[in-house]
Amino acid sequence: MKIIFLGKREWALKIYEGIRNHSKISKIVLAESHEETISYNIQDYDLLITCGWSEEIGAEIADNIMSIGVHCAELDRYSYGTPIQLQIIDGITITKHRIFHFTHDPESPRAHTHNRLFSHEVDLDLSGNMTEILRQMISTSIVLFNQYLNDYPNIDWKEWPEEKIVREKRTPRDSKINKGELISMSAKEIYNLFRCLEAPYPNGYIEDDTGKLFFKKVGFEKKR
Amino acid sequence: MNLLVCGYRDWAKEVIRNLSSNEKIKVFESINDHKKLLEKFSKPQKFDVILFIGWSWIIPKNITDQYLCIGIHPSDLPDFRGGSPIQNQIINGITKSKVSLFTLASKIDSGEIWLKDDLSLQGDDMNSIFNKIIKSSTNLLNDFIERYPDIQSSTQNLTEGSYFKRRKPEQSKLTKNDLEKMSVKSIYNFIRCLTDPYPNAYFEDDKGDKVFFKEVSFIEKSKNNA
Repeated sequence: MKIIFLGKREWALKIYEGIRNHSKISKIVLAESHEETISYNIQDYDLLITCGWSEEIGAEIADNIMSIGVHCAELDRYSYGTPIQLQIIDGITITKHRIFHFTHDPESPRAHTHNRLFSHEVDLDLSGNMTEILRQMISTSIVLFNQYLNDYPNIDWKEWPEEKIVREKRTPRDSKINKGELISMSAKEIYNLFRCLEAPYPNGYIEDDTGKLFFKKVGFEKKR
Repeated sequence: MNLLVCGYRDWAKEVIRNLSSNEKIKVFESINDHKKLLEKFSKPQKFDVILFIGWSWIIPKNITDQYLCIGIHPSDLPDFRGGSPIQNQIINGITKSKVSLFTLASKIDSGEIWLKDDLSLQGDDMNSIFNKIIKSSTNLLNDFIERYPDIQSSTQNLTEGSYFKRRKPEQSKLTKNDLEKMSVKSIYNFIRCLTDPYPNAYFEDDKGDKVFFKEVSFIEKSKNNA
């Protein structure tokens, strides 16, 4: 089978390295942008794998090639962006990492997952710091894509139930915490908030007339 | 000069490494354990100077009486004598300080001053401050060794300055009241001076759970932007 791998971040390229030698792949090309993707004759390819791709891929791609991606939530929950942060803030420590059908629908407020179909899933532990979680997601992504390739072309697509709650995507402005709000939070809530905003994300911060204090790394200890 | 250097902390070991190549030192030995020090001085030694870097044990009077024992203290003595000098200075808003080279006497950090060198206490964590202490300490000690024995010390005026006790781990706690009252800059100073290897600053909630603040950074608001 012939594959286009769409991804540009450093960790996405590690995932590319982890699947490129799969025995079912006869050809795999790497695209780092939308333009580069459509520069390939996509009808000649069987599959588009997206990795860490947060932009729309557009009808010109989605309508012409089977496209998949990975998402780190028990979809339909947290399907509107920043799923790791929103889940950690909500106190979730174990979630799912899933392969979903990457589609395009300009009328939908959802991000990329309009037909609610997934094929493979593994557990994902959200209890560590961001470095540990991102390292784990590299491994689980490699496992998931290899599972997909093992099963190809007999992919068993499952539909996840629809949820009406819209959990808004976080923005860098949401990283500012009011001091009063901070004081009212439990130690666990403060820990979860700051750890999910560790690098490479915009760090959580408090601000007053003297300046801005960014919390880059936190730890937690439960009362013994 | 026959020199014995006593130090066990990582930054002290770094200073010891830096000094070991000084050509004016004829005999150079180092010790990293108090027990070994006591064993060594159970019989007479031929050291001109014994240097203590970040040493936490009390040095027996028979050693300080018989040998020139000098120490390094990261403050502008007689200010911030006593324990936890870096933390006590940073928490009190001091950013420009000194590293002082002084004679160890019976009263803590109160002996004659030999030399001082500038020390900036700025930096987001203790490692960056340790690096500055290593640099200043190495400069000071090389200068001292170069000028020894033709170097004069001066007496500290102990009616001036300040004395602080060593901080305890439970003093790393930030209460709701502290967070409410302290400016963001003061919270930054509190947290940064308690980064590793010190007991990290923490907030404890009503259930007794603790969140530790391990790494921070700060952007100062200029007066024009305030």
